[in-house]
Amino acid sequence: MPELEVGGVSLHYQRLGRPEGETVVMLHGMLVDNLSSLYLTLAPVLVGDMDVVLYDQRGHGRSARPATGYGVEQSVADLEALLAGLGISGPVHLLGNSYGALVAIETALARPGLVASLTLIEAHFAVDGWGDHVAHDLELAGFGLSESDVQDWLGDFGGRKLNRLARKVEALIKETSMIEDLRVARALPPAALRGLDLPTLALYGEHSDAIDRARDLEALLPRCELDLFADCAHSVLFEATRTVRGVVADWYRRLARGETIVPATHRVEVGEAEGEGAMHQEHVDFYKAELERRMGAAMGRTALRIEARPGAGRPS
Amino acid sequence: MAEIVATIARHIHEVIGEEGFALDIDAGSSFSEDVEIESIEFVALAERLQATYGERIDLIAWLGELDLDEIIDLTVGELAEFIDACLRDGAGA
Repeated sequence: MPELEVGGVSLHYQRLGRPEGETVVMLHGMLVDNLSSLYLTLAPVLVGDMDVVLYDQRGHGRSARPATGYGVEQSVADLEALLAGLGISGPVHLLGNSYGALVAIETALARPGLVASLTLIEAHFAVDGWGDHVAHDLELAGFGLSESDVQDWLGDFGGRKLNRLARKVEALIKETSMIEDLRVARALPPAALRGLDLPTLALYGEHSDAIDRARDLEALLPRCELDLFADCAHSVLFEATRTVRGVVADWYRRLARGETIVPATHRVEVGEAEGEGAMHQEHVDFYKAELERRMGAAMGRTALRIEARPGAGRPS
Repeated sequence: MAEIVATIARHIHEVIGEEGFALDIDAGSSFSEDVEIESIEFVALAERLQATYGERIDLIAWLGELDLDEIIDLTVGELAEFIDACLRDGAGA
């Protein structure tokens, strides 16, 4: 498998399509994600015309999992080093899903000359309190994975695939600095986004929990097309894969033709078998609320046990 | 066809490693249900098959013709049929 050593960390990448074409680099999301999600969805519709680079970010997929370096700045540095290692000097098109979209934005801000355009799917970028929010969600996930009560409640998933995934996620949460690194993420100042004068396509599910970020991008970016996908939520890439494929392929064709991008917002209707994001979001909210209740109760139990022990001091 | 199925099975065993060798893989095996392949392992399998058959097959472009559900429901036999069709096309060209 193709790997590149970047700052002492081995990153797995895939390079597909036409080497002579313009380069698009695909950035996956955090924790349960890896390059396969973009390999199976969007890479196939771009390989006919473009040089497509996908890689597993550190700690994910088949890349190494070092103990530290999970902040956004390090993600940007990894991307830059990977491109340098591959001999790609840019400018490149960046396409990111969820956390990957944040890495794309931060890269465009840090290295303006390196980036030709942005395709941001469900960008969850940092505003005040974002780091705490993400850190809390990761703690919640870590709690869910380690509590046998929660495992019972979720039912007998069993299966090799899910167990492997759970083990990987647990290792990422418990054996690396990911939670702490993300907790201290800086908020993106609105002025920085206003200065990001690149052709940008932002895609969100209309029921996404990040819909406020969509509105921020719409208001602040000088050249942003915002597409809101009907009846989809945060997983729009998987809920409406066929429609997203069409929109993204068309976007790169328009850029290749040199089309001028002006701010615009569209509501995109999805196919008959696509969508149902409102229902997915409800399920996510339900599980999160239940996990929160259980984590709160478990922490209460721990505190009680410590306080009930004779002579024990307060937990530090 | 049987030869292609055997080649796919060999690559699956190598990609999945120890746990994979206990698997009995035939044309009817579903990647998701029977093999329980992780999507990142499927990428590794595609990479190996592409290296085995070279430019005669274009796996990634073929994946673009399938919906995500179809990719998830894919069987070893369906993948073998795709490869077989590409090889026949190439032979006839």
